[in-house]
Amino acid sequence: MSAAVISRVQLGAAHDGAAEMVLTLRYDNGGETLVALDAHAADHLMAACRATDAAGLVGQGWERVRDALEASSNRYAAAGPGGPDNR
Amino acid sequence: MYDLVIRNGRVVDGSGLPAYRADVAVKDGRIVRIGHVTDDARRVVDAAGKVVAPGFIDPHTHFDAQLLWDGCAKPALSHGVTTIVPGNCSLSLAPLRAEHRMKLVGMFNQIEEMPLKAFREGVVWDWETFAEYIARIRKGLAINVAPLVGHSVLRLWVMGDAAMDRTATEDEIAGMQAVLRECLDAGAAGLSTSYVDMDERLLPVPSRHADPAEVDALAAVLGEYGRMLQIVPEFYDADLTIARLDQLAELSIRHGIPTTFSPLFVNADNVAAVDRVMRRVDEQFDRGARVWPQVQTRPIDISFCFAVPSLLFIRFPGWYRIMRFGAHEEILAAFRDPETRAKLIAEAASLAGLWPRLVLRHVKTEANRDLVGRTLGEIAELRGVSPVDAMIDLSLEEDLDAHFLAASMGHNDDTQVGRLLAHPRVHVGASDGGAHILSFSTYGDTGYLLGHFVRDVKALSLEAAVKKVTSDTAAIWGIPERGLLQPGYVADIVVFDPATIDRAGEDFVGDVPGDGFRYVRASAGVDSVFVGGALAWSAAEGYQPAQGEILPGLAA
Repeated sequence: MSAAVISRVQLGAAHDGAAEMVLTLRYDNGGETLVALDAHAADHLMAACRATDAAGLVGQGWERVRDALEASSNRYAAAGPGGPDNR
Repeated sequence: MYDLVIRNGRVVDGSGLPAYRADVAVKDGRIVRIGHVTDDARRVVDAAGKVVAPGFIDPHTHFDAQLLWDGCAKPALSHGVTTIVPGNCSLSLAPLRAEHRMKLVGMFNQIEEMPLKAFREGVVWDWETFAEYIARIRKGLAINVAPLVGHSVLRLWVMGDAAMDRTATEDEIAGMQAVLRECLDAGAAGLSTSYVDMDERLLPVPSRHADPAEVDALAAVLGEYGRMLQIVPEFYDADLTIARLDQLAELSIRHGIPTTFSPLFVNADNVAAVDRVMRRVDEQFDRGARVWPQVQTRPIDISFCFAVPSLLFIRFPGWYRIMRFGAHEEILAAFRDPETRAKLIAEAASLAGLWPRLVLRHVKTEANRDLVGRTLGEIAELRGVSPVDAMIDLSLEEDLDAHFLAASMGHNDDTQVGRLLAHPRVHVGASDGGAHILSFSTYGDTGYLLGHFVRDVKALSLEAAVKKVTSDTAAIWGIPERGLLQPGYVADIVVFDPATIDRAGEDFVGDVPGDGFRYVRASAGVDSVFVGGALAWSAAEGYQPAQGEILPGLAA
C-alpha cells in the first residue's frame, strides 16, 4: 500500500510562463504536500497511469510521481554532450 | 544657473515620508536644492500634477547580453528604472574564458530563454575578465549597472569542465576567492548562485556542485567588501526555501553580508507556506541576519500554441489526447473534422469563462496581424463565432502557429500579493528583465506596482511603494548616494503621473540581433527619466544620450 497518494490535481503557472501540473499528495497520517510537474513529467505520469485527463490521476501512488519526475530529469541525459538542439 | 530644474511637482523623495510640493534643482549631476527655486536652468521641466521621485532600481535582471548592443536596457529606462542589477542566478558574462563561451550561451538559452542567434550575431566576444566586460559595456551605457558575478562562470573559469561534475578542491576554492576579489575590485556588486537551475543538457548548473565550504569561502570574500550574495533557492517548496534561507542567515551573520533570495510566489494554495517562509525571515532578521526575499509585482501569464503540448488542456481528455499524441497534421485534421471539433467545443464548455479572456499574441500571416492583442471574445464577436471556434479557426489559419495568452494564472491574488509586497522585509524585485524574451515581457513591474497595487488595490501608499523600489533597494544593496531625493544625492530622477502610471500592453518587436523578436511593454504615465542629471528618456523626446555608471556595491 502506498504511503502517499495523489489527492488533488491542479493547473499551475510556472515561473517561465508555462503551464504546470500541481499535485497534492496525501499521506496515511493525513499530512499533505504539493509537487509541481513540468509538461514532460506530467505527460509521463498520465501515460503511466493510463489517465485520459487530470481527474484520472487521483488515487494513484506516489511512486508513479517519483518515476515521472525521474523520467523528466533524465530525458536529456541520453542526448550526450551538448544536449538537445534547442534553437 | 542650474543644469535642470523640475518645477511644481509633488516630491516623493524615496524615504517613505509624505509627499510635498517643491522644485528640484540639479547641477553637475547632483541634486543641489529642493524647495522654492527661482534661478534659471538650462532645462526646465514643468511637473505640475506629477510626482517627482528617485529613479527606480531593479535588483533582479538578466540584461547581461542586451547591454552589449543596447546601453539603455530598453525599455527599462522608459519605465523609470535608472539602475539595474544583471548577473543573477549564477549566470554572468564574465569572467569567461573563450573556450567556455558556447557553454555559457547554452545555459543562458536554457535558463533565461535568450536566443542562440542573438549571441551569435549580436555579440563580439572581445573580453574574458570581469574588468574587460565592464569596460566593454561602459561604452554607450545610459543606465546605471550594478553587476553580479555568476558563481557558475566563476567555477568554469577556475575549474574548467570539472566545474560541471564535482566539488572544488581547497586550491580551486582559493583560486575562486582570488578571482572573485578581482571582480569585486573591478566593480562587481556581489555574487549570485543557484540551487535550482539546469543547463542546456538539463544537468545541474556548475554552482549546484559547490559544497557548503566553497559557498562559505566565497561569502567570506564578499564579507571583505560587504557585498551581496543572491541565490535561487528551491522556491517551489517552502521547507527547502526555509532551509536555504537559514543557510543564508548563517552566512550573513558570519561574514556581515546582505543576502537575497528570489523568487517567492504566492498563490491561493500556498498562502500558509509563504507565511511560514516570512515568519522565518522575520526570525532571522531578529537574529541580526539580512535575508531579503524578492517578490515580483506582476502576475504570471501562461502562453501556448497548439504546435507544442500545453498542460493548460490537462482537464479535457479530448484536447489532451490530440495535443499529446497528435502529430502536427493530426491536430490540424482533428480541428478540421466537424464531429471532432464539436466534441472539443462541448468539452471546453466547462471553462467557458476562460476562453473569451485569452489574448491572441502572435500570428505568422499578414491577414490576422490586426487581430494580435485582441481577446478571443473580441475576435469571436468580429467573426460571429464562439471564442473556442475563433481559437480553433485561428490555429488552422496559422498552421498552428497562433499563440495565445492566458493572463494572470499565477501569483495573481491581489490581496495576498499586495500583503506580501507591503511587508517591510520584502524586497520588491525578481522582474527577470531581459530574460524569457520569447515567452513574455519582463518590463514594467514598477508601473504595475504603482498603478495596480497603489492606485487600484491600495495595498500600500504611493510613498511606501516608491521607497520599496528606491531607497530600500539602495540600502539593501549598499548603493550609495542613490535612491533618495536629497541635496548631495546623484540626480537619478523619474517624473510620472500617479493617476496614469502603469505598464502598457505587450508588444512583439523585432529589435533583437539576428533578426530576433521579443515581448516588451511600453511605459504608461511616465513623463521623463534622468540619469545623473541628464535626460535619458522622455515621453516627448524618446531615448536621449545619458551616462550610466557602474555602481560598486559598498557595504550596506
